[in-house]
Amino acid sequence: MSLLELRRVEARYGSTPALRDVSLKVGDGELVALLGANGAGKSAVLRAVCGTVRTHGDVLLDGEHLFPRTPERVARQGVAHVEQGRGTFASLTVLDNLRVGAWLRRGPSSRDLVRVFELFPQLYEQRRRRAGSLSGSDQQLLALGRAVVAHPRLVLLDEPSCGIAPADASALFARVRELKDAGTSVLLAEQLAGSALAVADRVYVLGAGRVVFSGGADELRADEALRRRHLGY
Amino acid sequence: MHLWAYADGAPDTARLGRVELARSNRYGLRSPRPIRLVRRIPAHTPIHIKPLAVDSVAAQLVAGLALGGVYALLALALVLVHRSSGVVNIAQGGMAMLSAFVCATLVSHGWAFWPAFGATVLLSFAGGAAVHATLVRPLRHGPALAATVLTVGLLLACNGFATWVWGPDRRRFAWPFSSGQVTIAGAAVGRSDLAVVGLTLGAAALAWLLLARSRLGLALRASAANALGARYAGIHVGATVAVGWGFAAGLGAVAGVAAAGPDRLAPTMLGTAFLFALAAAAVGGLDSAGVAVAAALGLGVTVELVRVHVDALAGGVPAAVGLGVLLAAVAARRW
Repeated sequence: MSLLELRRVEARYGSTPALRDVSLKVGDGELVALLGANGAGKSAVLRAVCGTVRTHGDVLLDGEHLFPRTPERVARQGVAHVEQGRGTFASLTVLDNLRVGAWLRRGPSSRDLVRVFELFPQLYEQRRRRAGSLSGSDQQLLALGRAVVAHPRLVLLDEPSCGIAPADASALFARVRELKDAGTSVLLAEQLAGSALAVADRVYVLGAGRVVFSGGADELRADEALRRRHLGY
Repeated sequence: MHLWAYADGAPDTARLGRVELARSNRYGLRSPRPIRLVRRIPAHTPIHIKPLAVDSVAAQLVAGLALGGVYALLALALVLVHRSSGVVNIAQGGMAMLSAFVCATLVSHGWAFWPAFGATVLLSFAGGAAVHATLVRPLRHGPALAATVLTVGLLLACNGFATWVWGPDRRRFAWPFSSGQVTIAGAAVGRSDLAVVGLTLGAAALAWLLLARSRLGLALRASAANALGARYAGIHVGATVAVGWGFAAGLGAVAGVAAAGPDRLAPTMLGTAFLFALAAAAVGGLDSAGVAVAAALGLGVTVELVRVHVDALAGGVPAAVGLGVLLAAVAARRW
């Protein structure tokens, strides 16, 4: 049984279709990449999981429907969603951001904080600063750190490389891989296909709201024709 | 010759000649035993100001802080609501006034003051949360301006309801603080003013502790900063914001009762005080509780001193000060 499964999911933003007949699975401890161009529907998949967009079809967590499917209830099922655009609480300090991340655990333990600050040492030095005053890449790390202290079973990562330097993006993806190696499942929606493929186990490629490819990351990495057809490089 | 003097007791009419006692009008809060302005203005003589005694200044400062405390609580309530929901609650003063009437009604039905006060704060909390749940929350998907405009209607409803049920005139209720004076470091200040300062600043400190140190405060701040992100973290934003509205209404209840004093309870009693509170909250961009409180206390002292020392516009100056601060805050922030 998969940790997360979408079966024939349709979604709309107003009258505009965002997802059409999308089916995918994320297993325990897997890092699955969702690739595709802008507007392909990657973020819509993550929102469909969290219930912030209206859907038809089945969204199953641990093989079960969640009704009503709201962000709060999904979070209680062990799913952490790191929004696109850093998703931090700009007016709160770094420490308060981490406290909010561990809200359902009634605050982060000392061990959680040590773990986050070991993963992201630059956050420790800025722990009393407001999140909004951090650099773009540090904000992205903070958003990821917030997910870490929640001890989730599944992390939904929406375009984590958005707006940060390529070198910082590589370091960020290395941290995401460490998260996966520690046993956390990850569903990574990303435009930087090369970076995502370097860390992913399996890949779904979306085009105009449909799944146009699904398979192993190795398969897509090794096959240039396939990459050109689906990812344009 | 021309004299201005301030007397705490009866005026020395024999020495000053014709005496006019101007009632203390502090725009939203009057002392039960006001510092009386005693003046004698002979015709055809220039005006100058007599040096004041230290204890008069101290009494004016405390009276100003009492005023400022009421403004501070209303400003805190405005900031709390704005930070948690993005709405400027124009009805905050009206809701506070209703709370004061509820307290007075409970007292008139035989309740002792403090149980009535506690019950009023709790009822106001429930009322604030209910206003959010029934009126404001349904508009959450629209612009915050829509909910702000709705609170204008709510203000009219509060005023209309209070006038309909309790009438437009000033009323008395059992104010628990005596109207005497107490001497602190050689300066005589009004007991009632001191009590209002203690009550309002105590409530403000409690609000600060709640916002800055508690789990609920963290949820409120997180919900205000990024509502969707807070939901993704598992926070029930709707309930949290409703609690924020309730807490703001509770603060307003304290402000309303403090402003009502022993004999100032009326549907219009907080009209000008709300203007000053809005000005103080605007200084902090409606987002900074600390700046709002400091600005409110400063405004209270300024208004009191201006009221006492500058009588040129026959009482119009204090309101002009409040409006000036509001306009300056708006201009400085380039909203």
